[in-house]
Amino acid sequence: MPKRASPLLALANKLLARRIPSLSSLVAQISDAENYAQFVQMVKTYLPEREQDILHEPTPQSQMASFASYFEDRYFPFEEPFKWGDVGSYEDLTYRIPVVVLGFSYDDYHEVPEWRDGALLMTYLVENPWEGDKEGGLPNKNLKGVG
Amino acid sequence: METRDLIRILEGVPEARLRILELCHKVINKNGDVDPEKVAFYSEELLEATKEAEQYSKDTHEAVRCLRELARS
Repeated sequence: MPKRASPLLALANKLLARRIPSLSSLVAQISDAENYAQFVQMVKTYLPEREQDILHEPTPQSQMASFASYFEDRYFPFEEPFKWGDVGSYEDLTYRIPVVVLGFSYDDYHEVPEWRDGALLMTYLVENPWEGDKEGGLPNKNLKGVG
Repeated sequence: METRDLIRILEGVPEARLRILELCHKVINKNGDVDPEKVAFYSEELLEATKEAEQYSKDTHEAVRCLRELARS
């Protein structure tokens, strides 16, 4: 411990003892009240036992990151930015479900021939989204090597 | 927004733990002065903590603006 309390340390101690408020959270609750209320409702609905943990995070971003983390443990993962706290406001979470879409992209279609045989056969179960159904299953032309 | 709603918000606002305040303890020498060697040792953390403090300062201005607007409405 220092022999005397420097002004810097005295100020730090006073501020720490007063438990300064999270002003970003205050601003969000005032200026984005409707979305904050919806966020709180989501927390109460889906993770009621984690309400205190989540809502005591100091910023809207860390609250949403905490929510995303606990939510993923029980339900399904959110898009990466939510886990990193790299989102702007509560609205980013309340206006849509940030589910990770694992759909079949155009680029994926062209990589189908490189898939293992079992996966190639499974693609017969779905329609080719890019060329209609005229060729049958998704990778019809890609199955030549599967015997 | 009703006054009681604002009071409820103010009561429930979570705590902010600014790292710069905690780092103060680490960069002070026995005499209570800032120790340049310790500052150098914690330079990276201090840089991050300073950015966080600057953001808190901006948040302060934003909070004041919000509260003033609320008072006018």
